[in-house]
Formats: sequence, C-alpha cells, structure tokens
Amino acid sequence: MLAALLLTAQAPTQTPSRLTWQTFEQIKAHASLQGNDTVFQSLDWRTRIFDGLVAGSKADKPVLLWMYFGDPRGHC
Amino acid sequence: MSYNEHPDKSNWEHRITTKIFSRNPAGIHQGIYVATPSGQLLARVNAGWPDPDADETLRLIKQAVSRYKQLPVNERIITELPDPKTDRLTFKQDQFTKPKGTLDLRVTKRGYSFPGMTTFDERHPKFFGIDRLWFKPSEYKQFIPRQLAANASVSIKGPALERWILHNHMQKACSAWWPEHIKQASLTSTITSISGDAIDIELKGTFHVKADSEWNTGSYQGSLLGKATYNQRTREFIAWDSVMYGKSTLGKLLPNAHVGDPSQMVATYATINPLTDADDAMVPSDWLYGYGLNWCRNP
Repeated sequence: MLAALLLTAQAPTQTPSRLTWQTFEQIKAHASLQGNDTVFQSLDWRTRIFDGLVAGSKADKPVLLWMYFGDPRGHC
Repeated sequence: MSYNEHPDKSNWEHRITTKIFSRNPAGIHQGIYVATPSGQLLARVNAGWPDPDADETLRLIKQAVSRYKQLPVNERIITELPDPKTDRLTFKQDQFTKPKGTLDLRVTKRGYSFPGMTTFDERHPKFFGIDRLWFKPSEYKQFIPRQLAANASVSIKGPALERWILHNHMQKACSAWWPEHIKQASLTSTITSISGDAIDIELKGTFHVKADSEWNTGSYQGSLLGKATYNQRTREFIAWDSVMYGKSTLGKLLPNAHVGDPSQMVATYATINPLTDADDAMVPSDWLYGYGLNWCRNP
C-alpha cells in the first residue's frame, strides 16, 4: 500500500487536452491546495514589524521575520 | 510592506527596523530572520535555494533561540512599549479594505510540466499560487441573468470578465496586462435551476490575450467552466466552483525567475474563500493597480 501511494505521488500529472466537464475535477485537483501548501498559515503571523515586536516583547520570545519586497506571492 | 521606501525615517517602527538590519550587509533586505523584540538581529535563517533546506533552517532557528535565551531580559525585550497611534508606520495598503458584501474568492493555481523546467522557475508545478479575487455586489450581480428562470443567460462584461485576466489569475507568472491586450473574451452565466431562494448558475468562458507592450509580449489562450449558487434573498453567492485552463506563454523569460520553455498549461481554481475572519490579512495581490483605493471606497 505504501509503495503504491509513493508511486502515485511521484507519477507526473497528465496534462489534459482541454477543459470540459469531464476533465473539470482533474484540473481542479491540480490547481487545488495540496498537503502542506498552507501550513505556513498555522503560524500566528503579524503583517507588520511593529505588531510582531510588541507581541514578542510581551511574551519574551524572539521574533521570526519573513521579509519580502512587495508581496510573497510574486513580483506583480 | 515597503520599509525601505517609507519616507518617515524618524518613526519608531522605521528606526527599530533599521536597527535590526544595521549589521546586515544588504540592510533591510528580503529573507527570513530571527530578531529580538528589542531590535537585535540574531540570525538569517533561510537556507537552500531554489529548493529550501528545511533541516538547515530549523538548525539555524534553534541556534538563534539559544542565543536569545543567553541575553539578559532587559536586552532582549522592549523596555518601554511604543504607542501604536504614533509609533506605528502607516502604509497605503492599510487603507485598502474589503468592501461590505464582497464576493471573496480564493484563487489557487498551478502550472503543468514544461520542457526544460527546474525548480529555479516559479512556474514549476512544485509551486502553487494563491490569491484573492474580489467582486463588489455592484459587480457580481452581473453573474445573475435578469430573467430568473431556468436556461436564462447573460453575457458578462467589464471587470467581472476582465479581472480574471488582468490580475494574472490565469497564469503562474505575473505580467502587465491591459484591457487592449484582450483580443477575445466571453463569459456566459446560465441559470440551470432555481430552488427556493437558491439560484444555480453555470459559467462558460473563453479567453485569448496577446500583449505587445514594452513590459509584456506574452499571451494566453484558455477557457473557464464553473458552477455557483446565488441566494436571491440574502443577495450573496453561497457557493462557487470555477476552473480556468489554458496555455500561458511568456514573451520574455526573466533571468532571475524563468528557465525552459516559455509556454505551459496552467490550471486555476476559484472557490469562496474559507478564511474570511479577521485573521485573514491577505488582500488581492493586485490591490494597488488592479483595484485601487477608489474601488474599495465606492461600493
């Protein structure tokens, strides 16, 4: 069972020829979030350095800073 | 947030951010770091590129936490807490908020394999894209045909049609698209059934886009299918399930982002955003140029 699952996970996704109601679910699955895609959202992120430092100070904990020029989703 | 470009250099938040990065060779620079709340940089912890090295990052974080614990408390925390009213920087994005009643869609997208791809390229299927696609009530009412009867249909125009393209929801990369680049676009909504207050619609669309600007010479050819349910009593969409699929071609490969074939097939899925509570700080990535402050100020 484990071997089968691994093989499935490693198999390249077939590229459908076009979008139809028959291929809808297959394409939707490819575009959908998978596994740990959004595990980063489980952290208590603050969107501002000010808020993170104040919260860290109150809890006496170091702060993890994820600094990004623009937007972490891309260079739009 | 653009800390480097913010004009108020004397503000507390700007000063402590500058302090944190004062010993960083590149100054305030992108990356993942660990710092004390008092403004002391402990470590830069992102490791591995383009494939992140999670084990090394964890080791570096643990090392930074150990350094933190060795510092006296008064050196690692803020001894006098700042005032959020005066000491917190304000940014233009703070003014961009979701208008009441907005149809808030979560868009996720992922490309398919293409010749010559490596994980250097953001288009690699290993990477997904996530965004928000918002329609105000004045925009999303277009999706409902005027005649509320089965088989009634309406052709979607304007932002409800163009936003799918102009905001890059159909491709993995981000390009500058203008309305005149849309060579052909159609999106039709047809009522498939009505049950009580619930109106079920089916969406069908096709898109052909070709840019010819200084910044973008790419193209896209694809289609959209979807199903959604509108509650005519509460005047809101209660379900949304749509997929876009098409061929995205970059006009120019960016040396710091792309490698391999300029074309790939891309899948995009839109559904009602499940994270609509206050913790969801994500706004559409194209909030500034795609929507703008006037958009959210005028329902």
